[in-house]
Amino acid sequence: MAATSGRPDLFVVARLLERLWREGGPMLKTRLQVAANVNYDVFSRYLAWCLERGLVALETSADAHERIVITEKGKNAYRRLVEWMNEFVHGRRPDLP
Amino acid sequence: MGFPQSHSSNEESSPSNHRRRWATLSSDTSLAPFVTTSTEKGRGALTVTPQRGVTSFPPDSYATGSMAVPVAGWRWKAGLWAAGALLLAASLALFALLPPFGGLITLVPLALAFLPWFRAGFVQAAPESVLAYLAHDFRMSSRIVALGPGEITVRLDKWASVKIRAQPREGGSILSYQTYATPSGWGVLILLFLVIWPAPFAIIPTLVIFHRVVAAVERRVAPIVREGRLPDTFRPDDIRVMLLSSLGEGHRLALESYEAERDRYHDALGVVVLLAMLGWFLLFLAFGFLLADPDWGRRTMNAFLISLGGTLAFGILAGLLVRSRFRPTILRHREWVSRLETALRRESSREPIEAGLPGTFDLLWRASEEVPRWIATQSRAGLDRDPAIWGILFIAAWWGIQLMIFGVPLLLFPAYGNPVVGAALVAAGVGLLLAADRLYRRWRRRRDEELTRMRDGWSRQYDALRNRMEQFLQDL
Repeated sequence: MAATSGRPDLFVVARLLERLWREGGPMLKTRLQVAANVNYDVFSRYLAWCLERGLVALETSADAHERIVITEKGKNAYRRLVEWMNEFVHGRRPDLP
Repeated sequence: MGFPQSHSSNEESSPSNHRRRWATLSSDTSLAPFVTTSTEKGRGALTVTPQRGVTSFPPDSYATGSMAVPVAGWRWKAGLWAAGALLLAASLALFALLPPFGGLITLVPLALAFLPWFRAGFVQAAPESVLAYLAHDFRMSSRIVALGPGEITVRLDKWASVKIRAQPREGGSILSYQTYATPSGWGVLILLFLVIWPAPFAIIPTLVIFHRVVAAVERRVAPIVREGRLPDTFRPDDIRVMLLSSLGEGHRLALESYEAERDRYHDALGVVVLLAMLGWFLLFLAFGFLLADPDWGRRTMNAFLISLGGTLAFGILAGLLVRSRFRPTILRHREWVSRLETALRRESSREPIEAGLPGTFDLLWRASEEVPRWIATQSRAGLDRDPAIWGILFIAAWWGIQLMIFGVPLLLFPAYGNPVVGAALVAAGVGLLLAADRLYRRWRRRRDEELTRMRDGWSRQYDALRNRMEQFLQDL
């Protein structure tokens, strides 16, 4: 998997962050996995990768289900990706090296 | 000049569209500082509260007290259409007095509507922020917006567009706008003037376009001008604003490519029809002479049937070939238009994304992979997508040929008139044709250079962007 052996897959990370950003609050793990459209193994590894970097956080609710919520760092990371994409789509050079 | 108070485009004036628009405005938090809602006599009303001391758009009488949207702007509308009726009557009268060129007087209202930049007012915000806000607001109502340096061009409907310019002034921006037309709108106007005879009726599309432009400015630009500033809730770097901006731009590119390819398809079918008609005529003549039947009537009928059969066979086969050539590209572009339009609507109405469907970021990335195809399609479209240049070239070529037709007999046969006049007409005709040729070559060279630069730069930037994003995530 890219997340452990090298670079993470951009699209899986972006998908997870986007779904959590849209949710606006804690989201059940299973719902997030379905929304991200990846299998459980891939989902678990990317979730661990995101948790490790503080992009998302785990919350345990009263019903003992683990829920995932996007952090400020996660929102900022997603905002940065969207900003670059926006500049690219408009034909402006994002500050590329 | 005056400004309308109501919004009367066909699309916007139906009760259902008013209800939808009202609901959108009510729920759009970016407009919250300007809009309050109330219910009176069972009908919802939007009230735009103006601010005193703000610049004069629309005229000062509108900027006092509160104004309900939509409001009855019948005086403005009646005035505009009465003026249009008078102009139409005047141009028809001139047309009758000086046929057919008297009708070209319609060029005057056309110039008055399309050439000036009308001042909209002052807003306390940087030009980039004002244009970003207006682009966002227009996209929220599914309008197509093209961003240019210091201005935006908004497609309002099939014919009408508007250019809005923001120029920096101390502490803010001066907004102005210009009436503009879509390629279809320009096509209609140019056609009316090229044919010359129906030129007086160009006043009707001119007024329709002008009316829609002013209505759109009244609805979208006037609120921020009256307030003198942008809504506090609007942030250009907000994620949703940027997603809408990207989707809107992708949708515009896809739509323009789709329309360009569809126009080429229709043009190719038109050429097939013309060739078939010409072929039928030549075959008919040829068989009329070649067939050996002594009965003239039977020979004509046989020549007609044979040439018709051959023409139909050619037309059907060529039509099918053209269809198979264009259909895959048209369908592909249309699918992308549809996908991006759906995403745009979903994003602006904040609907959740269904499980299994790609997210907006995924969709944008896949759409950006299509960009080289869209560029290629537009590069093949040629003059179809630039009706203004097309019109100038056509007029120059047309008059160049006309002058030569008049001038050559005078030059060669002095008995017909003065050879000096003939030489002058021929020289003018040749000059016009050379100018048209030069203009076309220059236009084509510039367009090819721009498209090549876009295509070459795109793949390099695409790879660089992906590396940059992946490295960014890795470094978190």
